[in-house]
Amino acid sequence: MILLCGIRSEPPLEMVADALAEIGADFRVVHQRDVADYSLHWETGSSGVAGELSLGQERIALGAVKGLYSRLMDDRILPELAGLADDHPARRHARAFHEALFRWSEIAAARVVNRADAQGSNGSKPYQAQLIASYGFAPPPTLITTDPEAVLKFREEHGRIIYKSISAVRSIVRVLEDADLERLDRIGWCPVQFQAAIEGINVRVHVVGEDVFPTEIVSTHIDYRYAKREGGETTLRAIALPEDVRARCVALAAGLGLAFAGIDLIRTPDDEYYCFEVNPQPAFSYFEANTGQPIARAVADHLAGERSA
Amino acid sequence: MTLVLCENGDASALWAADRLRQRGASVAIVDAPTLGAATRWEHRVDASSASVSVTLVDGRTLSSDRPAPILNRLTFIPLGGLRSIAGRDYGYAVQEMFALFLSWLHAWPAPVINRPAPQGLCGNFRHPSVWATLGAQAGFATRAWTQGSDDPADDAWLPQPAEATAFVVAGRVLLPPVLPSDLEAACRRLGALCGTALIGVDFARDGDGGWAMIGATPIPNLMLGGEPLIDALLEAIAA
Repeated sequence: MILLCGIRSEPPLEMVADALAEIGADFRVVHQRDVADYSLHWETGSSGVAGELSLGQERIALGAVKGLYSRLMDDRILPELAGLADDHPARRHARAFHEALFRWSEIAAARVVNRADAQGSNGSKPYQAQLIASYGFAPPPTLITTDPEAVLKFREEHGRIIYKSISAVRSIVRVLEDADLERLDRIGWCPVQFQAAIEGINVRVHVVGEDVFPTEIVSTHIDYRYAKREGGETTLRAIALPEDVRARCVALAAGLGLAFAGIDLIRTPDDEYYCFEVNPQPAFSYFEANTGQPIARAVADHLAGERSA
Repeated sequence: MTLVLCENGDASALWAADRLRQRGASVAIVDAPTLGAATRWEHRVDASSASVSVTLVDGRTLSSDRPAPILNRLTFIPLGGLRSIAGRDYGYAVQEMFALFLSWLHAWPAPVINRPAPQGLCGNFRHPSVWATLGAQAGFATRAWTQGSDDPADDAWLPQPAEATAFVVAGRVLLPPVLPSDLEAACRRLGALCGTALIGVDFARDGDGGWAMIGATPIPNLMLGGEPLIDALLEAIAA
């Protein structure tokens, strides 16, 4: 039995469900919007964790669950709970169910994509950069500071530099322009992360165990995620990686404890690869839709125990 | 010199600092509000190295160029200063500062007990169900942890009264006299499984009189370890 947890219509979840159906795997969707019909109870013991999940009338022994793909959204903002007070029984049930599901997924003897504990490194980009460096990928030279003078020197040293959030909070990557220098003293209030802008082509590498799906991203904007919104263009193309880079990607994902990861690289004109982030919850559907790479199938195979990870 | 990073009023940290001084060690205490009021931060990461320099409001500098061992008891980033300046960006600022603290404490090029983890600045603050699972893997009798969709989500974090606490410090196990010595191997295995240099492991007697592991923490009450714990800390920070 495999569980897919999240919103049924969310593209990554839907694509993995389709892939599981294609290979004939036994799976259920734990659709968060149906939480009122669900219950869950479990207990730890000397031989692991045991319990039962009820999805409406169906009861599933947790020991039978061999794979779990989690794309859970924040249950507090489920439409079904809108307007309900914090202490409303439906809201309390939803919170308790999700907490029990989340905690069980952290200790379940199943292939979990991905456990929260392993996803933690993404909460700090410079922390993750240090881990990335230990797997043989160079992170872009990075400075985090409250000191405008240090930033000016860093810019002199590296030429074009960008700034972005230190944490997992999504921010639009921007180049530090001359016009920005007038407000540079504001960084004294809260440290800001600056990085040397690495010139080259963005490459997103989805890794599922030993399987690697590299996509070249050519964009008019430094942050391709926002190119379309800002009137630009982005094109995606499946490519092959040099074997040593491919092997490093596999080792990096495994080393971070991630069965499925989205690794962001930049390939320079000299064919050097820099790594600036590992996404532990990659929304791969955009890449699969544009390249035809069978990423969902690889995730499905992993969940079903058909691949090593 | 040993740095003790701690929350304001952390009695365990103050006790440990005092005991370390009694043993002749030079100790500087830097509390969370002092770190929060730092006047300058500079943290660099590149392919081959990471460095940090923090200038405190009293003029002292913590620098990776002159690294001292750290006894790290920080549970979270200092919030006082952020509250007063961040306004509607407070939530963002908290995450940014946590990310910075996680990175610089990880990068510090001298022993840090404990190194930070994404789940806690002085080590991974694991849920009781995870400790119960790790404890069983380590070979302890554990008290079962039950959870379900009828249980209040936050009850897990209520403290569990312990009857005895053992310590694991960099692989060295300190058992109080009340605990049987056959728990030592499991304590050592738990220390290795959790990957945290210093943990306190809590025990209580079960109905049959045997000892069950009921939890563990990366920020134990150090005073319970007494002088043997100070010995172990001195050994660990000298490593």
